Amino acid sequence: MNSILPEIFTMASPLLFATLGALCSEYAGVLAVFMDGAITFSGFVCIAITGLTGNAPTGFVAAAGITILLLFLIAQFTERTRANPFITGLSVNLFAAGITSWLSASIYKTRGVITLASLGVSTGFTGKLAFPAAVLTALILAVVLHFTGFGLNLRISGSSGEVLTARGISPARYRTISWCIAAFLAACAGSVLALRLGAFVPNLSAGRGWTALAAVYLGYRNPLLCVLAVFVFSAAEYITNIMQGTGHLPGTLILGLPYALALLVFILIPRKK
Amino acid sequence: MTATDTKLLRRKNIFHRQLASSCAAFGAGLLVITVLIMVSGDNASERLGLFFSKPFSSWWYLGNMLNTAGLLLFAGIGSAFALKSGSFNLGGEAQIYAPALVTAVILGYGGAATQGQTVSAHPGFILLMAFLCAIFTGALLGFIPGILRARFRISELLSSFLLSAALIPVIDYLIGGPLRYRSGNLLATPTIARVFRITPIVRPSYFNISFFIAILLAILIGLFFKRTGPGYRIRITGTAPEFALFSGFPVQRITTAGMTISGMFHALTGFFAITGTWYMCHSGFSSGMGWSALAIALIARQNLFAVIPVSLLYAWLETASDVATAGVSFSFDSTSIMQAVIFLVISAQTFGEFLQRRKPTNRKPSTTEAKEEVYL
Repeated sequence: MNSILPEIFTMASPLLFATLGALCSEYAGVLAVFMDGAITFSGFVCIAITGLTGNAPTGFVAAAGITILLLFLIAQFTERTRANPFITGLSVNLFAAGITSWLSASIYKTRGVITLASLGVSTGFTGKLAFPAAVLTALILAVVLHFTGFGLNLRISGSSGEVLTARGISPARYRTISWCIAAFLAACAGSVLALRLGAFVPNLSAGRGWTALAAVYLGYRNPLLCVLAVFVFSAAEYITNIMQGTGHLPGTLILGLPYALALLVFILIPRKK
Repeated sequence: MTATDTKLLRRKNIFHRQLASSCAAFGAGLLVITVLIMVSGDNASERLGLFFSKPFSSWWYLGNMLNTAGLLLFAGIGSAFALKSGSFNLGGEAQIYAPALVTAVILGYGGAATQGQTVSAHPGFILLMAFLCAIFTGALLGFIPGILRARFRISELLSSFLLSAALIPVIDYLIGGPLRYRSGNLLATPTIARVFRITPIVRPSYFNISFFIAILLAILIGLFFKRTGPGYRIRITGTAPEFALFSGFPVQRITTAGMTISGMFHALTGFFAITGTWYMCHSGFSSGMGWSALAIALIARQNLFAVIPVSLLYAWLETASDVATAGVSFSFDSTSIMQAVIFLVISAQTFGEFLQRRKPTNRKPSTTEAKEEVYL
């Protein structure tokens, strides 16, 4: 038991970051379907820049900056053209799959795994501090969302944007900010995943973006309850990993589990009438 | 100007705006692929030449391009059908892949059985069974998100995608594991017997009669929406669900049926892909086809007649980018980037307005105009 919990916590950190990002976006009325693509994209940038500079924090900062810029541009496009955010979010996922494939083929001459070791870099990143950092983020988010004017405006921008408009505040601005916060947290998730592996692998997120959406619902849209929801998902992931290790469950089937689990949560969580 | 003239003018404006948006989406996809080809590796001009000329250079390329267009057309009709009924079917990937597996397994193992005299069933009967089972599989995969939306108010956007994403690894596992043809080197089911294969019209390509069936279906479904009562009810439910509800239309049933029929059309792609092109189901063969179909339906603005030329153009774009990137020392996932750009541009409701906003003669659309616009 002593070794199981730390392992589950370590596994939970990227998902918790992603869930908090999805939650922010959810409050602003935008379903964060882009989360999966944003995690993969930021993971690639993190490994590429870490490989280039030999410095993991620089890799993380670059990943956060570029992912925020990308999603800021998409958010601006969505708002200005009154585009369907679900479709623009999907386009982020497709773009992430395509651009990482193109960049890794162009720069590293492979579409497969890019390891930091092959780039001659060792970061020594273990990801042990990632979970406390993610929990701290959840606490900060809970305080900001429920006890500050900014949080109130962010929540209202999603539920009744016209109230903000009547007060002379742009709800679009808050929605755009929510995309940017989600982008930052996606970058945290992507960087933790990539640095912990010491490599970028295609489809790095492995459905975590979608699981994060389900965790938001399972956590009843509350940052602190989301921590518990993420723990449940991570414990399930841990068990499936064990089953895979013992040969009880084929590796290919594991790939579909996050999606199946997310679908199950969406079906089982009661909807508001 | 009479009221009828004003109405006609307004419709014309909306049509022009939608046409501009569709052209912008397709043009953006074309531009991105062109730029990627030019910056990827050496001999950019040569590869760009191949991009535009190669798909028309031989019967092999031309026939296969038309064959791809036909396959995309079936799925495109499916995506457009869901959109018409007011639903977004994002489960196209599995709705093609699963029926393809069902077809390949029934024809592969059933065909082997008939050849080995284990079963004395008529090949036509086995083919019919494969067809029906494939259609049923697609219909079921469309029905589940449809009923989840109608009964439990679970967004079909999420449920169709998640169901598809959860199923694809299961199908991959079945192809690579229990259903794999052990005597072959591929991760694939057995090759289907010749008697089940659709004969190509233009050899050596795979171009076959399914292309014409797809076109005929698109026209028939287009007429169904335009000229029939049920078609009208589906259209109204798709564009104005509340009005449909107050008019006494069975909105829940229409929504579920829309998704189910959408799944059936996707299943046709899977069935014809196996019987007319691949003759076996190998791991990941249909990857990206579901997204391509959705892109086609969105570019065509759900117009069943427009789906035909858009499928042809899209097939050309895919074939051309494959040909142009095949010669490069490294290959990449060009289709995903193209789809991303197309989705982004086509999702904009007011792309024309966005561009016009930069001009001094800016005008806000009237509420009626905005409502009449066929939106995403």
